[in-house]
Amino acid sequence: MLKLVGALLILGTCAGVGGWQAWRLRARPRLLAELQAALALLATQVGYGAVPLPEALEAVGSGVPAGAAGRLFTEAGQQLRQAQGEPAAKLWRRSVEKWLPETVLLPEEGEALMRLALGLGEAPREEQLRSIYEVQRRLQALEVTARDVSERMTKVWSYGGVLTGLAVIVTIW
Amino acid sequence: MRWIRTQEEKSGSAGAVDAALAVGRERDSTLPVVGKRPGSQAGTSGGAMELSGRTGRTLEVVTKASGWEWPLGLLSFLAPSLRLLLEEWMAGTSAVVGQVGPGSLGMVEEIRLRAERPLGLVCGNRDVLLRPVTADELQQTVHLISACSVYALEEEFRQGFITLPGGHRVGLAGRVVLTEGRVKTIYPVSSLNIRIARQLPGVADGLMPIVLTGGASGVASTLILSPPGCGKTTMLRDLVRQISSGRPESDWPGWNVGLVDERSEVAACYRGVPQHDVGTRTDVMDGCPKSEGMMRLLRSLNPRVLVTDEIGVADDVQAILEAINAGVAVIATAHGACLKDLRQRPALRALMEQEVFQRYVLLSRRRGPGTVEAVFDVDGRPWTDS
Repeated sequence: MLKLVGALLILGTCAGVGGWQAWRLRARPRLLAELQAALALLATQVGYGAVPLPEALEAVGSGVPAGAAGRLFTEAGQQLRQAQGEPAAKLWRRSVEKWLPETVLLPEEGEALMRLALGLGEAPREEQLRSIYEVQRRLQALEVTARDVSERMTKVWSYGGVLTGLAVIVTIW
Repeated sequence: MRWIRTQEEKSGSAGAVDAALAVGRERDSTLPVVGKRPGSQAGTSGGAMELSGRTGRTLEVVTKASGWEWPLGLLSFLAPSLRLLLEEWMAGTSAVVGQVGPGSLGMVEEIRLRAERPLGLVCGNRDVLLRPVTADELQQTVHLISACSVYALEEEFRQGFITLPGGHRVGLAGRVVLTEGRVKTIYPVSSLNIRIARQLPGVADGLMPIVLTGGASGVASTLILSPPGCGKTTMLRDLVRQISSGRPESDWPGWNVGLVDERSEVAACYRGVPQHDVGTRTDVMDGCPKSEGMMRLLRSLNPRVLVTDEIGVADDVQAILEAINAGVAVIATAHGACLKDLRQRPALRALMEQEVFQRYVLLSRRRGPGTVEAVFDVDGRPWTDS
């Protein structure tokens, strides 16, 4: 009986780890897509509305579906509103650094997002939009890669977790 | 450490200025910390916040008692260390003078920040120089003034000024970035001149009987004429306010006024909302070229009086003629020391020849800005109330 409980525990743990990794792989392209949608919204706020940056970031935060992407923009907008003269670039980097570990994104994806800081709030409209579109393009490329990895590896992790659990059980039975 | 020095730009007496400057000298020995550069004292961040809180309360008392509340709104746009410096100076001068009053706050007309040069407070014909402003402090102030949104203030950067809440105007200078020969922006900014806005309600009381005698039309088309710095815009602002809101004492009910404020000086709009009182029935076209703004107002907002500042080119004349022919009175200002100056400018001479303006009001600084030197009629003869 004890052996059976132990085997089930091993199987459950391995399947859980595999399932969690598979979920992270599926969530990455989704979050990257959400960030691109948020940047498109930011471009609208900057390009057509000429909305000041703190309000624009907060509007983007509340304009995208509730989740990690919205949280980043809302947080950055609030930071900027309370700023005492710090440049927007510094506050954006700080917000991304704080936000990234709470998400499924990889460091290189965080770096792409941080590129938005270049000239943020200090450039004329045309340059500002160019910078937003550039980050959007980078995220798009990263999303394609992430989607490819997700399609290949999701099943590997899902079934792999269960199979590894079974292998361990068979070995030690 | 000497933290304050004075500079006399022009001769002339200014009692209040002298008192405050004397205070500055007295504080030289009592509060040397005010003159230190940021970062020169330990625990800059926490210490600064704590001190700012204490002096902030003092400042609130000072500003409320003096009746000049501009620092409460304006100082939040300065870098924290500069805010602290000015709070100390303002609270200190008032306390040492012994009475809170215009001796300290009322006389400050401009705050001048120049990178690596002393912060200047312009008070009438003199100025007070405090410690040098660092490039970082200047940059922080630019971030606060622009809310880190240069793209949203592109036109303002191009023109070289930004309007703040309360109508205060910030003039910008620095390295100009050009695109195809046109100014694109200023980056980096190395000088800021914050001009403190003060509305003077009632300054046009003396002019109202002159302007409101236009016969059937009610308002006489009027051109206010003076050299720069004689109070044309202040006078125009109060005329607009009174024509628009009405004057119960002269049974004037108030009319719809269309104001074209190309340089945002009359209404001082902040995000489209006038920061000065320009009357209850005034529509403002902010930042719009004069001729285009006048035509738009005529077509869509049905004004009975059109007002604009500093006319001078042929396009302005064309739009004014359109308005006059549509039965709308026009009140405008122009640079010039006498009517002869107008006749020498082709565009304005055309307006005189076509008898567009029924009144010409000449201002000077002889007894302070806004001194009415003379009023002329449509033919350029001295006007009399007949």
